[in-house]
Amino acid sequence: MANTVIGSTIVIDGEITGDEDLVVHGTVKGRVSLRENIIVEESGVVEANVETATITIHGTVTGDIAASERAELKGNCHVVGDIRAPRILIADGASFKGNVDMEG
Amino acid sequence: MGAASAPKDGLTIIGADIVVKGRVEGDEDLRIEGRVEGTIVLSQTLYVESGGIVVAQVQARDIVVSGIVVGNVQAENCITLHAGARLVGDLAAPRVVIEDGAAFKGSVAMGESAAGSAKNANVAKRPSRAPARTTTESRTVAKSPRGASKPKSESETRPKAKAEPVARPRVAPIRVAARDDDEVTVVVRHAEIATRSGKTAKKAAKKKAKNTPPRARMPKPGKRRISRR
Repeated sequence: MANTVIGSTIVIDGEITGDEDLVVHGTVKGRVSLRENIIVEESGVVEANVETATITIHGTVTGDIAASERAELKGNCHVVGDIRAPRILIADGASFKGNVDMEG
Repeated sequence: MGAASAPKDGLTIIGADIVVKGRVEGDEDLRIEGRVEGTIVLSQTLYVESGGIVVAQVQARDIVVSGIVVGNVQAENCITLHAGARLVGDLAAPRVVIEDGAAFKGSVAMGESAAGSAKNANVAKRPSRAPARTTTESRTVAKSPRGASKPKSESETRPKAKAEPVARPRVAPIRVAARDDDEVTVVVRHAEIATRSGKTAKKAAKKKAKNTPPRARMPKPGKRRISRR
């Protein structure tokens, strides 16, 4: 499993770019730009502008999200920022503040 | 996918196709298969796998390198360079292991002082022990003379290198008169004498030229002797 995992005690302050799945249990600040999937787990905190194919959020995201395929906000997640994606799913229990753009 | 990635503490992986620029810090093991540029501060073990590239100042408890690292590396316990590892930079750790097949360029600071400085890395103090034999190494590497007390940022490294007796001649080649370096002081004195005596000598020469004719004369071209009256 060629996965990238950011563990719960890890803090990355800067820029993450790449071509593979990213699972965030820890903290990422700055900018994230991937062509694959991002999963922000419950303990995960992302304070960054995110650019990706799909994003699944169980944790906290502060920043604008641009997903080329899908953005999924699970229950108990906290999202502040604008979301731009063709498909956006917001589950019951999710907290979200920001604009939604599903035009593409 | 979400279910498969259950929280698993103690293992962070930066995969082969990921580039991280900036600062990475944490309290768990970090495995780098991709690329990290910037700074890494870890209280556990850092693994740089083969294929992993780290261009960063690295600080961790243990560091195990099988890939490529460029930058100063500081460990509280042990630095291990496996076969296939390539590292350019200064190492500071109580224990350093370099296996056969590892490529390394830089200086090594081992032992208790290295451990102490690794722990007190934030305090920009050098340990009193400054072995002269590391100087040649450090010059060839053209980095801070010892990675031992390496602080986090380069901006901190430079002024410290200046205060270093070893590095001083490079910074101010002539003003080292504070250190009794005979050669240098002699050069300075010579310069003073030369300027002062040069002026007086010129004046004297002018006076002489006015008052007395030149004593020794050369024969005119084509003549073997000086014609005397």
